[in-house]
Amino acid sequence: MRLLQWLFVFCVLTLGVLFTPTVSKGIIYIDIGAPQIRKFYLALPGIEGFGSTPPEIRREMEETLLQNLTISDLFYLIEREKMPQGGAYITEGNVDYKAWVDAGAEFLLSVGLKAEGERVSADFRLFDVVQHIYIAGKRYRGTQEGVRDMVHRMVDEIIRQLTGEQGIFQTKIAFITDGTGNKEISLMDVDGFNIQTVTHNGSINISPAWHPDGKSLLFTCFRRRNPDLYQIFLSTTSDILLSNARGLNAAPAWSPDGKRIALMMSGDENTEIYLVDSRGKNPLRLTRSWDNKASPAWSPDGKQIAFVADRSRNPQIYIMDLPTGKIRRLTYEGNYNCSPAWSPKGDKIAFAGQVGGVFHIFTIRPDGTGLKRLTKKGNNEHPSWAPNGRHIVFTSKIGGRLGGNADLYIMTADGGGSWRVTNSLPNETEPAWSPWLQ
Amino acid sequence: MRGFTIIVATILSTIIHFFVLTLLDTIPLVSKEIPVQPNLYMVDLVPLAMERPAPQKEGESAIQQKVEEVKKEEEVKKEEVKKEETKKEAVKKEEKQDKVVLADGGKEQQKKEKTEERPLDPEEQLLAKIEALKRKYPAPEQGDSRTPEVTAAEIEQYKDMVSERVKGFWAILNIWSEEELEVKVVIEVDERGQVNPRFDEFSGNPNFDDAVRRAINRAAPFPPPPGKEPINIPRSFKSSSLR
Repeated sequence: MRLLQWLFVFCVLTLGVLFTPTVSKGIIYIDIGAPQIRKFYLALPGIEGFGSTPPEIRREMEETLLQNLTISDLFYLIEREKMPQGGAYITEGNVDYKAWVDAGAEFLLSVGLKAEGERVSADFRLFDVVQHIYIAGKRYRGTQEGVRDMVHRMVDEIIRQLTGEQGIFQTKIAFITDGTGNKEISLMDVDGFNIQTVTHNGSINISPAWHPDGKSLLFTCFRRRNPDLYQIFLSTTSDILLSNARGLNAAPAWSPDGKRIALMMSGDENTEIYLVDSRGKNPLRLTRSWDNKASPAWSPDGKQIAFVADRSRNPQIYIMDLPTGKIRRLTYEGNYNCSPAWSPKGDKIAFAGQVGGVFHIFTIRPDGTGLKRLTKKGNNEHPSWAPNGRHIVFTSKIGGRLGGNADLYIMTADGGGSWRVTNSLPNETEPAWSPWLQ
Repeated sequence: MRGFTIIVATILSTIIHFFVLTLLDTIPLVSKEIPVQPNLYMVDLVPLAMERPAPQKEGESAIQQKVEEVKKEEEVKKEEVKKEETKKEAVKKEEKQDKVVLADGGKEQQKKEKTEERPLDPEEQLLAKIEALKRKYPAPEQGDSRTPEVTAAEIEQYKDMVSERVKGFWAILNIWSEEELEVKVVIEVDERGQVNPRFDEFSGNPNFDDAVRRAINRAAPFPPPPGKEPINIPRSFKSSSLR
């Protein structure tokens, strides 16, 4: 009898195991087809100013908001003329979802601003008008100087709500400016505002490179008449000398774990790639051949380094695998490819390549496929990736080969946009986008 | 000695077996819970699939159901009122006839009665229309799930129409097109063409799931399905169907 029961249980279990997968596949889900790949339609009615809000603060906020939303490259903004609920400050209470859908919007962003003396408070409300959902709302308090900062936080929060990804507007870009007649390192917000000078030594400072924690920068300085490697701490702007080997100590790059620094140093009669520790000690020579090597760039996993070498009689990009020490050539197109920058996602390497006498920004996959030219005009150099891996900042001279003023531009990783972020008389060059900052 | 150990071992093993089996006997066996018929699995497992409730939608549908119930009750009441009115009419007609026979030309009274009768005329017409309609479309017998006129082809056509319309609104950001994301949804269309997406499988990216939900909601409402019978349309949404 028990045997029968056992048999029964066994049969049931086997049946269960046999039938469960087929049942879960019992429904056939027909593929709906390829989606359209496009931006979101966002409606941003004019910012509502409460109390005695000065119009210039409102304007500054509105301009920053529009610029940040544009650079994010995630939204089509609905034209103001088409907007319903004219001029009303929209809250959960009075939002007319249907009218906004009819105006072509998918999302609605309502922003209010209140300034009383120095104190400023701003809030936003984000609606999914298609699904009739109030997604989120936040209020920020601060001073008049902090309005741009509020907007950066606001836009990052909106991007996080809509995409689940971190926004880039609370990061910084380090760059070289020659405004003082020397080359000094400065920092700015992603949208080109809030410029702060970091070095004040009156010498030549080049090649800023961020520490992965975003608290300090490496750079090369000629203040002791030799290109030496320094580290500068942003909180105090005090610097320390890391490496002063005879000859070059240039083009530094911090490893993703922050423990080692790859840099270009003088070899016998050429330049080689070296590794030093985070205090600039214990140099380890990585490459050993007759040709010149320059511009090391770490892969995000810290296992490979891309660099430039001229062993084929013209500069090309090579990749060294650190565990094995093997080197392979990455670029074959063009006669001059330089300044490689590995995307934070690891899927692409951006570089500057010469086409018709001027440089353009390209991307290529680390396996050498998928070469793509991103810039169309001007003379473009020094690409640097945003920590989200979707934006690239670069130097551009619209004058092309003839020179002209160098400014910094931002574009998306697939070449979209290209927004000018600095617009000043001095030349801004060698941008380095910070990692995520706290 | 050897024989003894063998005997002890056998006894022990029987005892152990006995205990194990009785123990197993006391555990409620799975067999009692699961029906053996494989067809019943289908019914049980499908609702067990991962589903994130959309509270707002459900709330709405619940409200709609209540509204419908109330409406139905009102209709029933109206019908009752109408029945009573028709009864009254009948009585009145009888009275009128009596009066016509009995009265000797009391015009004022007749006029009054006429003014009372007038508003009833359109209702009578309505009742007649309803009767006519009832004769034309006899109520379906209970248990018959579909009216016989609806063909499988019509249902397929309707499903195609719904998915074409949803596809028209199916759009994602380029930042999701790089990943391999897939959502499995049953688009439940009710008898009035209102839609309720039931997610059987999420992509793991809530914002991508939301884009699917938005596409379906934007395409809705649809015309009522053929035969005004709810239809379930299972569809999968992928971040890139080209790959």
